[in-house]
Amino acid sequence: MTASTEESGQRADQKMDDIVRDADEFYNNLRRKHANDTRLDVAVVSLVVWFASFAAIGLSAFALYGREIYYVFDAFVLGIVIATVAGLSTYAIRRKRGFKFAQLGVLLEKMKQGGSSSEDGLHLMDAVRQASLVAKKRKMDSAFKYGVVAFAIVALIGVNAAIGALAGVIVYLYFRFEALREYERDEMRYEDSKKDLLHNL
Amino acid sequence: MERPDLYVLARFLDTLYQNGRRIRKTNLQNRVGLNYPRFIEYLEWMISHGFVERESDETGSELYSLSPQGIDAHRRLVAWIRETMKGMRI
Repeated sequence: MTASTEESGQRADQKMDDIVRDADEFYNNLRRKHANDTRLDVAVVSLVVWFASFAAIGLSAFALYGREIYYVFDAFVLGIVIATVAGLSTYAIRRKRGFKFAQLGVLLEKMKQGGSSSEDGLHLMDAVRQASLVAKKRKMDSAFKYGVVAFAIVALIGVNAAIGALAGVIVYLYFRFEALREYERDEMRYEDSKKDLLHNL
Repeated sequence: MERPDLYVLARFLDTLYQNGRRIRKTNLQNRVGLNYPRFIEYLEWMISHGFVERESDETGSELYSLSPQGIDAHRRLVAWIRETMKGMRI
């Protein structure tokens, strides 16, 4: 090998190390985000289930056995028990879903041990891309949550469910459109750069 | 070949780059793990693009090695992976 080709090879090796470092950072961010999302989901599910159980049990007790104050306490405690079960179930489901990115972790560990090739780099890039697509899909799911929040706020402030629903639909469509546009733009950019690479190799 | 598979190209470039020396056709085929017709198709494509150099030894056996252009293609492939990954965000 000549000096210039050797230098070119060293640069490629250095870049492979940089790729592994970037992917590692991405994976850690993904894990942190997953942990934060899990906590948020558990809190929201527990709160909603507690409130629904409290209202359902309390109102049923009032309707069936009369208006006694200790029914409120009983409904409150039962609501907490049911909410705890719901929260734990949500946590277990979310933990199970977390294995989706395990492949990325395994690949990273393999590459960290050294001797990684550009083919490993391609596999790593595809795994990161898959994780990125899952995150973008979640953004589309978030559009629905934003729509519900918009509906609740506008309906409460405007004291009008129809206007609230309209606002909810508009917010939902807007965020969905933005998420889809971002997804399509990324896909197009990736495909174009792949074509360019093959053309210019 | 209209559009070669990037993974297969990467495997060829990796194998020849990591080997560092000239390699026999059979060894190369074993390392890249392709069936013979497919292997020849890719090998010819790489030779026609100047990535791989074909030589013969004193016994007349064909030996293959990565050309400077091939080493540069390997470097560009790695650079592309890095750039593409940089653009991926959660």
